[in-house]
Amino acid sequence: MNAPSLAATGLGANTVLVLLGCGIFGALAGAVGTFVIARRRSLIADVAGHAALPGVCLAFLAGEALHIGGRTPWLLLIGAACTALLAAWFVPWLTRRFAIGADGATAVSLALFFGLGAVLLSLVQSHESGSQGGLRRLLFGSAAATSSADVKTLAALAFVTLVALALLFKELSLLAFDEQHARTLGFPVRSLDLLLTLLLVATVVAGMQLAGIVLVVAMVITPAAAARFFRGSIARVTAIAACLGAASAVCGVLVSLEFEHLPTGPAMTLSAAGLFLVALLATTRGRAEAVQS
Amino acid sequence: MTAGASAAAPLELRGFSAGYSQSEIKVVDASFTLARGTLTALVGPNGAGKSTLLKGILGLTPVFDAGAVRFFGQSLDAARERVAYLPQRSEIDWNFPASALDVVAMGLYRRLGLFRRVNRAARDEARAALALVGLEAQAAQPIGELSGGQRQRVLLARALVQRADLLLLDEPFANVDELTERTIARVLEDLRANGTTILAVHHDIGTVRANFASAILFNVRVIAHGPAESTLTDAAIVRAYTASNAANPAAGGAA
Repeated sequence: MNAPSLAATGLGANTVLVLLGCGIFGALAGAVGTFVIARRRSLIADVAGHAALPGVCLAFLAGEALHIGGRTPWLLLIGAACTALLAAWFVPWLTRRFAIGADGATAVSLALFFGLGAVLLSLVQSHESGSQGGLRRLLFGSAAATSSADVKTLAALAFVTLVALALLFKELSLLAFDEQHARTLGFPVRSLDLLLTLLLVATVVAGMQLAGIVLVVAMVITPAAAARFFRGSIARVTAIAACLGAASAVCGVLVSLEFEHLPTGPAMTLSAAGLFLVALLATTRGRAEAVQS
Repeated sequence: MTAGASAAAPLELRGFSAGYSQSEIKVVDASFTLARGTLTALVGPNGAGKSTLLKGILGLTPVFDAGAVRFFGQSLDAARERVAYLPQRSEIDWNFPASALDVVAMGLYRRLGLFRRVNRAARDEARAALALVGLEAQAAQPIGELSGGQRQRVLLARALVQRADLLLLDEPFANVDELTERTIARVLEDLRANGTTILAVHHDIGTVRANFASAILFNVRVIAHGPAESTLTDAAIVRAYTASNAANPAAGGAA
């Protein structure tokens, strides 16, 4: 597509920037998701994603109280990261400490954090600046309402996270495949696990404005799950997941811009689910697994 | 390394205990020493704590007494590069996207160092280890498409590339085809002849003598340890297989 036709279809410079930012986020989500799935952390990721909501709201209220403005972007990001991290720690702790099983602990935590977030959100709405079309958009995401300054910040965060993942790719693969082996080789398994959690939280935080808190984790899991239908090394599967993630994110943004009232998050996740179906039907392994069940 | 350390036994346990929690100790007061270049079977009934013993020695169980284990006279952290472990096949996620060669190369990750990619030399080394277990033709095959016996040999090759002086193997002969059994037995014997010390959990008391020169009869505690022939007497086996599985030190102390 060349520049004149871009203008003709109404894609301004800001839209191109948003598309680029979403593409980087989608690639990161797919890549991180490959490790989240291999390490069987999908449900914890889901809780961590939803747990960003109370953090965002608390950050907003703190910003208002401190008179630096509730919608200070860096403050919202930090708030979201804090509660997402807390949730990622809380689920395994609950599982270890009480005999309710990992699924029970996950469900309890999800209800706790998201419920708290919903209550805090209604508090935020009662603030003047909060009610002005503000934080409610965070639930389902809105690429159109994301400023170019925000997109640059989020893309930078996503890019740095991708680089960190690339640098420690070998070690994270080892952890995901066989934790005990990583231990016997003398690798710091706890630190690597923490790193994976940090990468996940960074991904959630980078994507929550675009994809929304409710569905951001779907962008982490779905493209990565689709990539598992392809044969190959963990490096190849990660690359495929990143491509599928970027494609679903870009596709979702284009669709949500086309239909004015469609939030970005659902459009992205439906695109990802569509690609998942295509991968299921188009790959030998996907067809084989579908037939088996 | 001091002269004393190089002469020290590859593995020495003194009053070692291990388990998954304080209330569930599976290994009680185990003491034994393995000499260099020996191939020893760890034999005992189901639930005797054989796997827990191996994992405890390597610090893989939550409760273990690191001070009671010496590797070549040193702590595990100091001797880490001289020790390799083969887990039970069932503990691995075989759907993980990796080829046989990828998995074997993982044994080299520590030696490669941080941030370094798997290079040509590492791939060659991994391929050589696969050849040793008769799987050079399967190097590029996804691990999910390998048979059970082939998977077992891939894990053995992963341990081989670590070039360890002490190998701790959990059920290397469990549920494998005949070719795999022969291959593993040959590889282990070659390693032993070259001075490697090997301790392997073995489930089948009937085939211990065929594959192992020494044996440790184990049920929560060490019942007997010595040459397989003289250790696996009927009386000792009966004692190991009828001993209380109760791991509680207080209750297990009776009899």
